Amino acid sequence: MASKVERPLVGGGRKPAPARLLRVLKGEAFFRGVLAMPMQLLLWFLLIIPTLIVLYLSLVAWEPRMGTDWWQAPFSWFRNYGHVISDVRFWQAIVRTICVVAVAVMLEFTIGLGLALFFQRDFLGKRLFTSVILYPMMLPWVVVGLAFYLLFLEKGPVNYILIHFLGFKAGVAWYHYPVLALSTIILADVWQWTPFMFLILYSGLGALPRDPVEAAMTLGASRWQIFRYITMPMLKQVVIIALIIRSLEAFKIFDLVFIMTGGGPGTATESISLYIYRLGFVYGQLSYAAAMAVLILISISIITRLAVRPLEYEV
Amino acid sequence: MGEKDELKRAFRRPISRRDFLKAAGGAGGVIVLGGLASACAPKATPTPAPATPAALVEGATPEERALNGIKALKAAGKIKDGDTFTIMHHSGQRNNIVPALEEWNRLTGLNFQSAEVGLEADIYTKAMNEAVVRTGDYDIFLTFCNWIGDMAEAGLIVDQTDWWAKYDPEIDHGANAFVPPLDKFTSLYKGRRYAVGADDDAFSLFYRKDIMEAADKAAFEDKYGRELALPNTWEEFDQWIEFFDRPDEGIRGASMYAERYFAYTAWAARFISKGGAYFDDNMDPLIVSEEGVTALEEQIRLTQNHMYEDAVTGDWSVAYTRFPEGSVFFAWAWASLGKWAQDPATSKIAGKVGYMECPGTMHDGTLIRAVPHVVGWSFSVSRYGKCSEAAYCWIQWFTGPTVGLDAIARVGTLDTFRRPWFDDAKMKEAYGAEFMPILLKLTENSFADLGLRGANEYLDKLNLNLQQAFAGQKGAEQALRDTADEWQKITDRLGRLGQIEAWRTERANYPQHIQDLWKKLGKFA
Repeated sequence: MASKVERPLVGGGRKPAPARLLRVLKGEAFFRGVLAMPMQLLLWFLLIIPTLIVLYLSLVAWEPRMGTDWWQAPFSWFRNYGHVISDVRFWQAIVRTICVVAVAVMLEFTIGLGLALFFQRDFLGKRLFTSVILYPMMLPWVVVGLAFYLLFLEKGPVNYILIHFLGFKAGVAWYHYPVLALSTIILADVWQWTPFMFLILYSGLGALPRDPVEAAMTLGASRWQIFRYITMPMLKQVVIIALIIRSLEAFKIFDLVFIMTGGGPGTATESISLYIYRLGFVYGQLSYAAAMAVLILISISIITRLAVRPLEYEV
Repeated sequence: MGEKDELKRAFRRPISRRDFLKAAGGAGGVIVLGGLASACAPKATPTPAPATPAALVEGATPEERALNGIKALKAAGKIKDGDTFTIMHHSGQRNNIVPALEEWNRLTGLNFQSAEVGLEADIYTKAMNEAVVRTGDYDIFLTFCNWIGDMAEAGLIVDQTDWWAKYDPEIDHGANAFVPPLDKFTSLYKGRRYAVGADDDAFSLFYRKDIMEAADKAAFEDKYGRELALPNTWEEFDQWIEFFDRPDEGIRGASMYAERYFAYTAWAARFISKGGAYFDDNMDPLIVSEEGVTALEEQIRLTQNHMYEDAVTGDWSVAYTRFPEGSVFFAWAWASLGKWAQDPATSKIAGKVGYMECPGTMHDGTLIRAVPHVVGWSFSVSRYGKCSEAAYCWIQWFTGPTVGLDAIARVGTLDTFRRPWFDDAKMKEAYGAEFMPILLKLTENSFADLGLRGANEYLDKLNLNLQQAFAGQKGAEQALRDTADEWQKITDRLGRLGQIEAWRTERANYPQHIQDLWKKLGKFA
């Protein structure tokens, strides 16, 4: 029987290149890569490349009206970031935005939780009311902003009610005083986004197991004790997720402020998003706006990471 | 073993040379791709700035010369029938512009079309965006004239000076000229023509003549020691408003802007009439001065004592609500408020509107009036369009003495600007015969918004601080001092030398009587 002739292998023991390439192309890893390519390209062009451009802009000194191309702008390195940190208006906008977020989200959570608990029981028209509650969430921010702006005008319906039904001698100048102006914005936000909280908490409550509750009832626990020691702990993860999502969204508040007060009077209601918009599109300071946006992004990322940690430990 | 632990192991294993080369190659590929992408980024070929023309184009009128220009461009092969040109403008000008486009397209065989934008601020954003991306999507921009500086410095718009010489739009001379100084500040930047004005936004003053006629003249005379008459000076104006402020009757004295975008108008009118100027010739602000502080204190008193609070917190439309509904005695705004207030369909006071000149300040027996020309639209030509010269020809045709008259007389946000139009029957019918001579005087006394590079920013800082002052959040001097500090930062950031050049040419666009006052007060050499 002829023996198999052993041919010497080329390349010091490795298979020929074309065969290797063919194996890679036929391989599962390549196939997976091809399938993921469209999303990768989308991510690169919609997310990664724009982010890199923003990072680049934050490190240069460039404005469109300089008359130079952005890729020819001189590097200023971290000077923009230094200016941001020393910008009083930036810190005022941050603090103001945090206050709005804190108050609005807490109100949304409280009202949303109350509604969610109420809707756990059956009553006539429950489905209809559930749908109606969700409507505000479906409206564009512009519509909500315009509606609330009109509500609180000097000759608007709110002042009309105050004067004709509540005995006020004159209407309230809602947009004249910073605290009142902020209150109208918070109210609009609460009206629009409480349904979101309601939806998440209602779903969360509905998914909770009944056994611990029934056991507690059997043992004579009061409704408050059941709510405090059983329902809320079980609902903790849902609550954290709801608060994080809503807070992140609320922090970006722009439309309501832009339409209702324009950030005024002065800058008394200017949110950080509105300030960045002004810097970029009214003042043309795109590099400065980019630096500010990057700082905000880093800060929010750190805070979100810390906020999500309790969920990780629970897993 | 959990997924987390597996991942940790995967990341902790030593990287092989092959893995490293793969990753570096991938990163390098991305960088190369990015570089290629930016190099291949769409770049509309810029049309070169016009060379010095040899001779004036033939034609008896600006419109005729514009049409002849198109013929010549076609003959030279630079444009052909069916070529599309796009005009970016605000939707409020649709009725002024679109009917004219149809006529132009019929006459020239070209396809000029309009691209409407809903918000004025969006026009600036889109224009500056075009300065960066240079798509060539727009051939003509209709923008506020104080944006010309930004657009010129960004390289977006073309210097039209030589085309003015070639085609003669009859803007700054002749029987059909624009009312001076409109011809200057709607078109000039650093001494060159970058735009053609298409509007007159000199603020106009309106009052309730029925209330004034029915007033207790004796009481006025007792209180103020003079006869009841239309005020000539700002001091008289303040007294007049005070007298007609009747909150118990539901009528406040005045509606004058104190809000976020136009708070500067009333202060500037007082300030300039007192001999104030925004900057000295080194671009150091001159607003923290006796003229500036006094002007602001006066206006603060008027706003806080005799106006509704929405003067501070509302927007530009407040005057268009308050005055026609009859809840204020006096209002000032653009000329269109007069049309609005006299139209029975939109006003409760139609037939009761009076018009007046802007008050001023006495200087050694001479009354100096200064009327703010607030925003105002101008046409400019994109450097990245199809054929800039053809675009310019359309602008000259549209703003011509005959075509322009029809266009501006139509209801829209563009207002009359050529001198003969003020006597024209169509314009008198549109605005009211009684109003036209007043509007003419207001225009002759008007001064423009700041038109330097960064104008939006300078004005925004000013408005911000003034609004805070009107709202009682800071005092007059502090507001102006804060503004001046911000202005210095802007100037230093944008380049002081360039701003000095721009300001020195800009102040030459002010009405002559204001320039003479400055000279008299020793403000400028």
